Amino acid sequence: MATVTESLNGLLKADGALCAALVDSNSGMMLGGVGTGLDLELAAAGNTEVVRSKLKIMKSLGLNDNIEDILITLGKQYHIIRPVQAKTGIFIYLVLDRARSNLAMARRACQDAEQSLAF
Amino acid sequence: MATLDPRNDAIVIRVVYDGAPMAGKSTSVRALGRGLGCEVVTPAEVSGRTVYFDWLDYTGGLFEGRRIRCQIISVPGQVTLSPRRRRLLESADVIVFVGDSTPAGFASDRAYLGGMQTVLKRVDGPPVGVVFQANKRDHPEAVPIDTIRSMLHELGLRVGVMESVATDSCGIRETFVFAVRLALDRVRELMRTGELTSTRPDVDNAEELLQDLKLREEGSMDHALGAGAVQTRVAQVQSNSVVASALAEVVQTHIVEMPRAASPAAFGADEVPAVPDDRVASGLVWPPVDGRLALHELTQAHIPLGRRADGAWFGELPGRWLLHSDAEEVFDESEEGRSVLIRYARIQAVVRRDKPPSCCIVLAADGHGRHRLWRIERITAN
Repeated sequence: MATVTESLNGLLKADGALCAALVDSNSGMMLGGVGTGLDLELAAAGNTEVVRSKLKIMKSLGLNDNIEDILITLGKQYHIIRPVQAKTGIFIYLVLDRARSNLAMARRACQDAEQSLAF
Repeated sequence: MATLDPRNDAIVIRVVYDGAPMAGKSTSVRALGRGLGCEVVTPAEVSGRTVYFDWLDYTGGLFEGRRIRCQIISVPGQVTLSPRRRRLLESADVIVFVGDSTPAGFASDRAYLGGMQTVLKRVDGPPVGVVFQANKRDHPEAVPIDTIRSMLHELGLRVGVMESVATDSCGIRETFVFAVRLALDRVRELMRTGELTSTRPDVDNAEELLQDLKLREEGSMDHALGAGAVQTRVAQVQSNSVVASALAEVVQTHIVEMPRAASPAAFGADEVPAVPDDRVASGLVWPPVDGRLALHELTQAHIPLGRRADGAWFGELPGRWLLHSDAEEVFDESEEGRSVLIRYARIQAVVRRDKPPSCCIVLAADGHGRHRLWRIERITAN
């Protein structure tokens, strides 16, 4: 089992990875963050609103299901948000350079990181 | 204590790090500060031990669309500073109790947890959350986590346990984020009941917290010392007991250990200290009344100071007062000197319980940026 830092550093090895964080969606605070490219603290806090909004909509729609991951495609970047199923209220946040990354591999890297987390 | 600060629309919460002495409270806060990229302010420290508090101010995250401002404070763990610890605990929105996982440290955790519970029972409003940070998990004989959980269960504490090695910054941030979660639960409840106030925090920075603590303490300390410090354990010693005699002997032979802040050789020959006068601040004179009278007389006279071979300074107001200060009784920080003054005053109060004090003790600026401890003795007919 990997620590927070070890898991996040593993994510950075994915092709095109710029930065990654483990975020508490209750407070928007990071449990850990690695990499550069944007204000990770601000992004982590802002993305809690994304997750919260999606969960709220799902509840309104009566969808009895879990969010596996959320993909946001920008002009130059991919942002992947993956809730950690084993830890309620925690999600992984990964930012990738769109030109250099493989989306399928990046999603797989997030899944592996989620399963290896220990804290 | 949580408020909604209208100046920046931020939720302000206070996270207090509690625990027994040397459990790792200050180490944890400093590790957290490094991780968050924020500076830790420690107003006073003696031999690596917190005298007042460690202060860390961090703004981050989002709660209901508002930024979260965390005032992160660690308490002093020493028994003699319990009143100060209690005041800080009473102001918490969440407490991180730093437990010492070593076998010797674990024994102290239970007592300090009990003290914390007693304080929290008196706090109004929604319950204050507690996180147990089991520190020093790298110790080869660290107490098993199950044993820690059993102890918490026996105390009736249903709290989360997080593992840490503060010296390596392991587990520190996770514990802090978990604590913030609990504090936000309290904020949520305060909002629901309409008790969350929209106001500037009572204490907005480390300096204000220091002044607040001093204001609350100085009046009570002067009173306690003037009345013979009867609230202290030392003061419970009977004046005609063996212990009191032993204390008298210690006082008379000056075996009381004074911190060595500087060696006499560090002073230039011309760095004659200033004679204490009536500008000495409140709280730095014992006993308050007699001491002030002595200072008033000294102010009105010119007293040349002499220096002995051992570096001690002395002076005399003929027929009235003798002044004395050992070479090493000088301090860079007034708080360090004040701690020594209080300790010495308590011993004097016990030794001479039924008699008026034979000397006054004063901590005065020496005119060279430092503070010097003086004994001022009344000259008697014999």
